[in-house]
Amino acid sequence: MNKFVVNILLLITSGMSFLSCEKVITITPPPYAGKVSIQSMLEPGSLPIVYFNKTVPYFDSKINFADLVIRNANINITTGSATDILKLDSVYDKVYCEYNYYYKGSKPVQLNKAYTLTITNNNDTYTASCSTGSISGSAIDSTSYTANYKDLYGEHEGVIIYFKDVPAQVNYYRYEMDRFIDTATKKAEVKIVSPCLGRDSVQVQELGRSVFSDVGQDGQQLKIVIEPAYSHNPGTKGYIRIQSIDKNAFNFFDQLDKQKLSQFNPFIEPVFLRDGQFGSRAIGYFSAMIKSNPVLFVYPE
Amino acid sequence: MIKYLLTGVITLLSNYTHAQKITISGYVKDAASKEALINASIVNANTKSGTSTNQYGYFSLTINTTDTVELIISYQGYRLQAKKVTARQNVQLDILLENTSSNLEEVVVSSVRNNRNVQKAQMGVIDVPVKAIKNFPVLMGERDVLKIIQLLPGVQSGQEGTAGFYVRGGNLDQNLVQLDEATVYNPNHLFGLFSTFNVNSINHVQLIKGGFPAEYGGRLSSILNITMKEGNKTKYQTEGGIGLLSANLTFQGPIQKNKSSFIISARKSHINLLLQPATSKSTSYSFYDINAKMNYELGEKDHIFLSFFKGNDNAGYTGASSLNYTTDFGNTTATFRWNHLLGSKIFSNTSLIYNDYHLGLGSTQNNYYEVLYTGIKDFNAKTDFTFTPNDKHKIKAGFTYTYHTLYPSSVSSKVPRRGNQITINKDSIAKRYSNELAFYLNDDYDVSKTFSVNYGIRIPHFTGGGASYTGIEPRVTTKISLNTTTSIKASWTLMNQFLHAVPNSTASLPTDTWLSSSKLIKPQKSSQLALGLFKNFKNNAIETSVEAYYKTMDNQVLFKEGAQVLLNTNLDSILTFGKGNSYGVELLIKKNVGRLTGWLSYTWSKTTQQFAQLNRGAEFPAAFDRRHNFSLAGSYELSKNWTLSADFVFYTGRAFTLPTGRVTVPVNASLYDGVYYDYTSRNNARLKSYHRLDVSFSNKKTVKFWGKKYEREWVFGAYNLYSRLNPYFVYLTTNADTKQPEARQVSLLPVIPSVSFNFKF
Repeated sequence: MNKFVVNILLLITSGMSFLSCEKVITITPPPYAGKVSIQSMLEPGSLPIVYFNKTVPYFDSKINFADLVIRNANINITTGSATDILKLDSVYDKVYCEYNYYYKGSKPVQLNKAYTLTITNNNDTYTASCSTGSISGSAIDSTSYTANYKDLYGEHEGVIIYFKDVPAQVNYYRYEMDRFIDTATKKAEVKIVSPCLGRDSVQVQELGRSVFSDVGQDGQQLKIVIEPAYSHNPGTKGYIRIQSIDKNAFNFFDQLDKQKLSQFNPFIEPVFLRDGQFGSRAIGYFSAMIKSNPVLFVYPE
Repeated sequence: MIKYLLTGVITLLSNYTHAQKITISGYVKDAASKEALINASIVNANTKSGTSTNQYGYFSLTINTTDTVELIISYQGYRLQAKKVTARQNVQLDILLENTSSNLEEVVVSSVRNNRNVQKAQMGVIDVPVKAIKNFPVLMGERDVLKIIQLLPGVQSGQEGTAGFYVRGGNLDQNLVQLDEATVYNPNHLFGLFSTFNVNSINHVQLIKGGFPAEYGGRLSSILNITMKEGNKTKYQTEGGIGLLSANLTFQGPIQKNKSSFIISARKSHINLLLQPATSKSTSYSFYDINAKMNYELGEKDHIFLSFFKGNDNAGYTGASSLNYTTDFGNTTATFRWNHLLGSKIFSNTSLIYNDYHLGLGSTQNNYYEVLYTGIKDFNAKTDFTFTPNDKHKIKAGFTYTYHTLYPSSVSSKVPRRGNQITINKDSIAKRYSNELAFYLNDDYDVSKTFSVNYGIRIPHFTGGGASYTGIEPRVTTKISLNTTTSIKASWTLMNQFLHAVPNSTASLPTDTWLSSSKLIKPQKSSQLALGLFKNFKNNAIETSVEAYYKTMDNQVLFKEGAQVLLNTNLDSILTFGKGNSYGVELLIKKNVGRLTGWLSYTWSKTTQQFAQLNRGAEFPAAFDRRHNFSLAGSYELSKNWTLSADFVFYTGRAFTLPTGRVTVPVNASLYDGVYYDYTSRNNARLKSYHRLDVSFSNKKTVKFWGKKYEREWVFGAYNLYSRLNPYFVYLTTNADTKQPEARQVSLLPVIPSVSFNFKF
């Protein structure tokens, strides 16, 4: 066979053999009967807030809260004979340049009370209960910082919080840090692009992606390590709190965390969100929490 | 079942006590090389009853005493032979069949052409002589056994670029692939683009996908038996070839003429040489395989064989499609076999077998990585007896014992920002030991001219992982002949499987981890019922069959939702168990002789699984469920020298899990983006349909070189001729500009032209 032809064939084949091709495709997903999303965490001393949104088909073009919020719903929270009727409200999020919508009550949440949430929208009614008496606040003993920490999420830096678990009951905790960010800050290593922020700084409430339970460690000194969401410099300050949350919130956020891991990590089986307090027609939680007193934290690097 | 077995034994003994019978036994071999011809048909032309040769080419046929009997001996690709034998006393003969260089050369010397596919009480069995494999299209210059197997009804290929095949709704691990009786756990090169089996060293391939005789066990879905050549007993022979991916060389010949022989065959890739100009340095692939075998006839009654196989792949791939991997995997097997004849009616074989398999895989996708090591080492001893007391019974009995050592370990985590990824030290993996013992008894009984039954029982026993399990596996296949070319068959089999490869449904690479049964991991079990209609046309030149099957599978294993494997994770604790079932209809139309040969195969099937802890407990399609599976494979002799071969495949896309809804959770700032998936059901979406056409032209000639004749062959081919971008996998992402979710499809192989050169002298 002609040597030239052989060489040409070899060249073409070697070039094509290991070329993979990637393209955006249109998938027609199975029909999706939308649900509603209800999220509310009562904090004693604060006014009750309920996020009431619709879920949308996965490839739907609606991505903003203004499109997702369900307006004109009747939402009330009762405790004993007292009823608080919540009204639609909003706050402007300067980081994402959009309004966040929620329903807000007018009566501060009280300690040691049982609350019932009732939402009526069109002909559907959703109810759930929680109690501010079922949880106990904790206190942060100390904090520190590590540049290298290995856990389920790989190796990362971490803010370390030491606190004592409240004994003789099952407790669940979540991390919170209040700090300021600006457009020089990165979130999850991605630079924040916000035309609304300009040169301003804005206060954000950074929440830990993981929630923790004291199962097997009742009444002991606990240590949790949190990967910060935002970048920082030496001397960056923030105020850390430990949120004591109830079981409903723990179950919800725990499965969200597991699902996110499975979304990112292709070696993990997908996690389905399970029915919670509202049954199969709504995703979410209605729960209570108590925050610890804030502790100033200064990043060493 | 025991009652039936006793009845069978009594019946055969009563037959055995009849005098006036003689036994014709011996071997059927290739006339030129004296290579055994496996599953050759020997038919008594007077009575139309017959038998077939076993894995060593041996047959035993007991008939009534008569002056002469005409035997018709046939084997695909060989000239039919009619042989008259004086049948007054036991006769031992070696029958030599002549290879036809062309399908056109076949001469029909008798009206009794091979119709064993119709008349045998066996179903779900497909024999593929190596000559048929050599007539089919080549992939990137390589002829391949597994590619042919994947074109058969009831068999589905894995996705392009991954390993393995699926049979009748069973997972990859439910196929037992054996090379000279040694298990080959991963029979693939280049992630399944073709197999580890070098066609030049193979004698015969047989696939059993249902109606399993009792001698086979340990897997639920199929047995793929590959027999290596013994080596030319008459002269030294060299053959080889070079293609785009690899070069191979086979050398065989007599050690002692007509008494012992050897064959050694090696293949090595040279892909790296071709890749380097086109890809980055971190993309590489190399593989090799070596087959060697020798045999020695110790006398008329004893024959020993020693086989060895080693194959290994090593690859690194970096770059495209958010997918990086490095892998090293391989199999090593060694088999010692001793054939012994106890008279002319009992054939025995004793085997000592060793195999060693390992897969090491490091893979990175979407900034997460997994490191996996899975290995199996087996020591196996077995003895089988075949007793042919008369022309109605063929009884097989035996036992097998295997000692397994498994090394399962894997880790999955996010790629660290600094420092090294976790690595697995093979020596530190906690080994799992187990024992598998099985006894079996099987009778192939021709009750009458129209009714046959193949029935038996297998009793496997397993100990390991703190548990002990015993199974009882009745097997029965019946056949009713409607006429000489038409029959109806039915079969029912129970199977147990004590080894499990747990598949990862989301990763696009083969990350299956092998585990043995334990207290927590119960043995997989299946029950399969099949019914078939078999019909031959044009004097058996065209074979057709329609088979329907229904299979249930218990104790299936998958990973739990959200289970992440860490170095110290007890794998048993992150598994979940369920059941599966599969049913389908398979059509096969096959033409064996003439200028045009080939087959058409179509399978309609449905495979579902149900796990209490997955998909909210509801039934869901298996990841490898494909409704339609069509293939057309053919070879046409254009002239004496030129042959055109082609195959076309079409199948429904693989199932995968797609979120149907999107939930926004306004939880202020966290590392997560606040957007979550609402999954409504598992495996609820399909990749796009897969179809592909492969074509090759071959030119074969006998030419003179330095005064000596040798055969040479040029093969020009194209894989995926019309360059269909078939889906490899789909992943979800968010468009950075529009913030809209979108799906991206990754495809692997466009059209790939090829050229290869083969020689033989």
